[in-house]
Amino acid sequence: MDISPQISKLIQNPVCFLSDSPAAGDGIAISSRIRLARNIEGYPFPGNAPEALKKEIASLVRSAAVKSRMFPARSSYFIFPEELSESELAILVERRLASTGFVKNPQGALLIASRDEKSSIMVNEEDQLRIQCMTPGFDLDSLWEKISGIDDKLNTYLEYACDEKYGFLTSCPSNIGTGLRASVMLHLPGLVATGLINPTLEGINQLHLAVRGLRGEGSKNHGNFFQISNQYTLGITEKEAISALAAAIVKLIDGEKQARERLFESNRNMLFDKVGRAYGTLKYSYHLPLDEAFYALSCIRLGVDMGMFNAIDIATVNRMQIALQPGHLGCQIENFCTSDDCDERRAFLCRTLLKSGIKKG
Amino acid sequence: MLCDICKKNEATIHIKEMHDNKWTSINLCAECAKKNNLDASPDTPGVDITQMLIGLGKALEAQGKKNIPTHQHSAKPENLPVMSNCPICDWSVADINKNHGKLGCPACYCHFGELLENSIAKIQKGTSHVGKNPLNAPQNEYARFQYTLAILEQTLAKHVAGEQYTEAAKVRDAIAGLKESFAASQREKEESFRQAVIEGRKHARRIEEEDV
Ligand SMILES: [Zn+2]
Ligand SMILES: [Zn+2]
Repeated sequence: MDISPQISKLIQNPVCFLSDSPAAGDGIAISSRIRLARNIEGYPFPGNAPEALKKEIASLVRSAAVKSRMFPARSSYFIFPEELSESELAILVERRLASTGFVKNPQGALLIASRDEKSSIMVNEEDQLRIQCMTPGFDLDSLWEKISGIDDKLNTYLEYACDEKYGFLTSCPSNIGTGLRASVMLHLPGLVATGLINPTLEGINQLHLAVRGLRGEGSKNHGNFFQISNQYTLGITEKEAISALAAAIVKLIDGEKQARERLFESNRNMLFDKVGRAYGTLKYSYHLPLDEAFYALSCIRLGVDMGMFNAIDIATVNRMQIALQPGHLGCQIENFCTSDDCDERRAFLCRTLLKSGIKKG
Repeated sequence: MLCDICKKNEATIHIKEMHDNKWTSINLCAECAKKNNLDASPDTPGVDITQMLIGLGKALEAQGKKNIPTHQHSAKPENLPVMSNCPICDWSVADINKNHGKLGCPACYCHFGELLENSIAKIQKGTSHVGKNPLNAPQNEYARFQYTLAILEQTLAKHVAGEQYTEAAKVRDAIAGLKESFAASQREKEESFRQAVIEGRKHARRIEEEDV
């Protein structure tokens, strides 16, 4: 398969939202992200714009991105989804640079991303601009500083659509006002295994937050990943929305820590059994569906967090997390795996990565 | 926001997921979440949101409601009043409905204003913006100018086509008046901006003097 030059450059690097450093946080808050929805005055929203107009919008945004020096022409990615194959589009989604909605309507769309992938703009998604910043771990405050700076710089080149009453105007009224959606991805296997996940979510629910699984699609097992985000954008400041979310995240992390301790103290054999079986699944399978792999990898991640392995490090877990998803899977291992079957290729990949990730013994 | 099931209690649990490129979301009170087993049991390998949504679908069906509400937090107007299309982008009320509450262009907020107001109050924390303002300052005035101008031009075209020249002349005058008053207010804004800059400089100079 031919892979476009920009995509092959992307997949050479690890994704920006997973930290390979064991010292970074507690492994529970996986990543943080903030996005801002913006539109340009005088143009219709993308859902009501003919392709020619979308292209005009894309070139306006591109030139603002370059001129503002937020996305220098030489070092940034400028990717046109309509030029890409399905699996290349899937790679963008798996790297969290694009939403599923964005890649399903590739006509006239443009993805702008910094070299480190931590800042990006989806042009002509539901709104003309979806500016996004993400980082590993739990750090919303500095993300807000960063994205607000990018927003201001772009705004000096683009006149944003806005209104005195409703603030920034967006295609869907659920985003008007600040246009801000902040989210934190949490790995909560302890709360799930102890059955405490729901009471815990109830405990934080007065804060009006939305919860959803890792991959927006209807995949059955989300590998115990939960994405928590703010619900409101109007009648609330950016900082209020962010601090309400942060307060809930702190509580969830705390709850997960306690659940893990409880599991370790009272149900150690069950815990070791789960992690051990998961390891067996990844290491010895010859046919591995995505859901099963996600679940097994979640157990391994828990085991690594709790220091149960000295043979596997978090970098290997992170690498597998991305590599076993369909888009990356399709582009990476064909050199040495001859099977056409996705599940067989995934099993091959896991066996290989676990072999090379083992440090000793 | 009220609970999707009982419609009485405040919904405090919000779950959403993408299905077939459409957001499906449920908003529940704690009580209904528990009652309908929309919570995780200790044995499930992971909380399965898809199953939760299916569970909710069944609960709603039992109550005589056919589908899981899609895109609940979009401003879908309940009763469709007869309204003209947006004069800027030609979006209609039917378009809003078909597109899960999405609007056609920024001017739609002005045109469908009354229609949206209630729905927005239901899905948002407040009814007016309190966050950061764009550097380009509120363009409300410009949007309204564009909007009114488009309506007048449409009317003008109608009169000309119908050979109603007296009416056409009146509308032509109205357009000229609108353009003039908009230009005047822009000049005023520029002047007050200039004034602010001059005052700002004066202020800065004063601080410098105090510093010494
Ligand atoms: Zn209820
Ligand atoms: Zn419109």
